Amino acid sequence: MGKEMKHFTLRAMGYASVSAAAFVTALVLSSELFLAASLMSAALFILSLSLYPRRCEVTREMEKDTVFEGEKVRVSLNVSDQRHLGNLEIFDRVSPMLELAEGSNLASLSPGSRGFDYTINASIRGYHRIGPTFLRRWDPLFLWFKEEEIGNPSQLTVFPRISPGRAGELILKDRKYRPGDMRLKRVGLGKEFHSIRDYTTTDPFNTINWKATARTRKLLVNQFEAESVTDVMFILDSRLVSRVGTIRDNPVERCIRFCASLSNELLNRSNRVGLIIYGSSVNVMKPAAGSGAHDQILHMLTNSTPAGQITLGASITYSLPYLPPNSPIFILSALNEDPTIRDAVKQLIGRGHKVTIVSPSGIEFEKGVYDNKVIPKYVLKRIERDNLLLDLRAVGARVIDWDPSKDVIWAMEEVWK
Amino acid sequence: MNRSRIRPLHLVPSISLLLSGVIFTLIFGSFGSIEDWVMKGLGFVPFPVWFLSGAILSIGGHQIWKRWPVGTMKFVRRSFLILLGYIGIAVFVAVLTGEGEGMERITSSDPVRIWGILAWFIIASAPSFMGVLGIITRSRWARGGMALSYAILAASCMIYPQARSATIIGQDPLLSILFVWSIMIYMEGSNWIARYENENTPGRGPLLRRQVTFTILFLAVGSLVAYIPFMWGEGRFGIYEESTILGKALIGAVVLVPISLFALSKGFLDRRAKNG
Repeated sequence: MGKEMKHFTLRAMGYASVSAAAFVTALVLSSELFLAASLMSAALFILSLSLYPRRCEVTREMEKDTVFEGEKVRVSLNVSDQRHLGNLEIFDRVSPMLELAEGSNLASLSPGSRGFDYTINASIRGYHRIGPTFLRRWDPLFLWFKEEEIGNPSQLTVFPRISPGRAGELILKDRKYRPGDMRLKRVGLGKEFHSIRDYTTTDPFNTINWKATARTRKLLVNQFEAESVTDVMFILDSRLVSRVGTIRDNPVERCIRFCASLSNELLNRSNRVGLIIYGSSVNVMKPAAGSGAHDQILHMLTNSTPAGQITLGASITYSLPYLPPNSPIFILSALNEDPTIRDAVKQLIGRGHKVTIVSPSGIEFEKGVYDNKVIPKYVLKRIERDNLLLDLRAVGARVIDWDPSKDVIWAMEEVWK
Repeated sequence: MNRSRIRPLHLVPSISLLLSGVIFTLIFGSFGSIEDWVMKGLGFVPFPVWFLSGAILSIGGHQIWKRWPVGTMKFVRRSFLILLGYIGIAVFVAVLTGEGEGMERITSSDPVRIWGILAWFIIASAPSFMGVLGIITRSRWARGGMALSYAILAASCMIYPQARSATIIGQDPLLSILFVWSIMIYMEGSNWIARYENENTPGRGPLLRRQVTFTILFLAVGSLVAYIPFMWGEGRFGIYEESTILGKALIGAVVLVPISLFALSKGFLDRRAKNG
């Protein structure tokens, strides 16, 4: 139970003062009118305060406590006891990053009601707090209230939105060969038998299943399970300077959504995925596979807050021991305010990594904030960025210049090409 | 929300204010005699005229203030200063050049009487002026000002006839209680509007009905309690003697004024703490 506060309203004070002042005036002037005013306002005041609601408990129930961006969550507040003549006003504090989709988190309970519901829209990733709940107990005429903080806050985990990837297989040129099999329950180019299907003119002859063909008297071919043994590393720029634009749509948020979506696709295909987030510090997750890795990546992305100014060069120097040799690397960055980018990319390519840079253009986001006005500063920045992208392509990196008007699915399609 | 639509809830304070004016006129039939005392010949102006002029002034003044807020406030402030300056000069001139002895020099002075008419105009039209302003602007201060100006006007209407006849002049019990009802309903009605104006508020209907029911119930109980003193008859309460009046005033002031001051100051402090 939190701190309790008591408040008289100005109206209550007015009635009390009128009652006292009118009584004095009634005595001085021997006036029945003033006496009536005094007694009636006193009766109103005293009777209302005498019917004050008892203390009660309020419990919060959330439909679910983990959602993805854009999903809605229903929150129900239930009051333990509502048999009284006063009024109950309940306010459930909600993180300012969440939006109310339906209903209100502030409500006066109508007579006989045992609670109320509201729906919140989880519009941005993060660990959001819902609560504590504030309960105001009023007298029937709303003259006086007691306010108390009750119940514990709940946490709503909002993971970044995952966009669906294209059907088919992501072509990662360099497969990694590990001891043992990495079989996928999907048709592919592996060695393990998967199923039989009808022959098509493009099938090689050595895949024809002669026994089955003889039995059915039509050409049938064997299909094999796909195998994938690739480690993919994501390097995410989470510096404060990369958060250009609105709080809900900026390069950092785009990169986070892209990372969540692509890592999900890669993990679904049994690849191993690792993640490095740099900003105020460098957080490294070694490549891992399966649903555990998926959860770990989502939590790391959810917890990421744009801050600090650690450069790409410094973060790569720190995390080199964690980068699997020759693994494909995705650098997700707005590529602004960082003089070490060229050298860092050169260093990675020199070590044999295939580098793909997915870069939401920070200056385009900034331009969007200023109603798409083209100012000389923008033109200079644009030229500077184009030169940088050319340099990066020249050293062998694949660069995807991500225009803010294009969505995550577009960026994923670009990677698939 | 469509503000131009008139809803029954919005009519409650307006009707209550109108009723209060009607009942006040009925309670204080001797209203003209006080006006005659202020300025001979002014007694023919009945209270409803002042009431109506206050309401019109309030509506007109609010329209002007909405267009020229700074200029209007400057004008009102300067007018009050001129009024105060005028009374100072008028009293000074009356003391130097007036006829008669002592206070008579001031009370019989025409310039002072002219100021009296202005002051009376402000006092007599203040209830409706403040009341209408409270409805239009939803100002709590205007609503409080309405109740206070009614109290001042009622006290003025009681003091003069009692002092002239040296007797206690009582008021009609039913009308007195009805008058208090009209003012209380005006106050509570304004609160209902503030609280339940938004028709989309969940549980609005039952909550409003409950508050209205309790207000009526409590006022009914208050009326029963308030009616008891009327049944006592005059007794000590009705004695018009200087010492009795002073004694009652002293008891009242010693016991109740501190309570009243404490209540008011606590209210203000609570509000300030709440608003940060």
